[in-house]
Amino acid sequence: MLNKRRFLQKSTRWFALGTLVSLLPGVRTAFASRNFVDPRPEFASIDTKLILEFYFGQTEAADDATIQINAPLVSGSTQLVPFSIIAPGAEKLVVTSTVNPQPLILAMDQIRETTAVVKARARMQQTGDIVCYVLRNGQIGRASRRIMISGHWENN
Amino acid sequence: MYPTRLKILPRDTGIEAHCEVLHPMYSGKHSEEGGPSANYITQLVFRLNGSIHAEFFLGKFVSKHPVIGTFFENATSGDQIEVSWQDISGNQGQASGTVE
Repeated sequence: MLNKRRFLQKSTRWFALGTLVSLLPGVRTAFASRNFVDPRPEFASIDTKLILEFYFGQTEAADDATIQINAPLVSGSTQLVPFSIIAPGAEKLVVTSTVNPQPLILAMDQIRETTAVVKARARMQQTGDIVCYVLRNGQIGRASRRIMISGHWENN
Repeated sequence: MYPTRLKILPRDTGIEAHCEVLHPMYSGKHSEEGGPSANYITQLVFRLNGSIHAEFFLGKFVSKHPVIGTFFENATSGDQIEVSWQDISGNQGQASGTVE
């Protein structure tokens, strides 16, 4: 009986402590940061296969050496990662990141040229890859490039 | 509302166009803490002489003050290049320039 009472008292204390901690601003921010969801399903998706299905209608991708991704080896900021992509024969193009909670960064459509050229600046939360998927002649080609974010310690 | 600049740069094999929008690209990360609500560019279109040349769909992981560039192989002197964008709040902007 006594043990049961002590257990209930301890449980109540821990529950109250947990409730108080969850009300602290820092903890609330950590949870709030995951709340906003993009209204477009392809941008809200956390699965790359769903993104490929949305834009290309298929998910099977093969490595493609003709896709050229130019980016710095090291970027000094998570908020500013410049990159450029040159993709010959591309009909559609999708750029994703492996480290962001939602992978899709940008997509390019209605390409009129024989070679698609994209230049942009992305946000990356930590060291990771920029992956480019290109639709060409009904097949998906893939290329990736690793970018290190300085200041982030990578535990190898 | 947000200034838009279009740079047209002649290259050996064509014309390179860069569009820079001075847009904050808020991701809505701190909106529940009284921070700015999500507001970022969702669509950006390049047009050559009025017809769509390339269409970009952007998300919240594009940087603040985004610079988006593309290439025009067939643009010649006198051609008109236009760029227009729209953000998630419904704001719009555009810029245009002539190939010299």
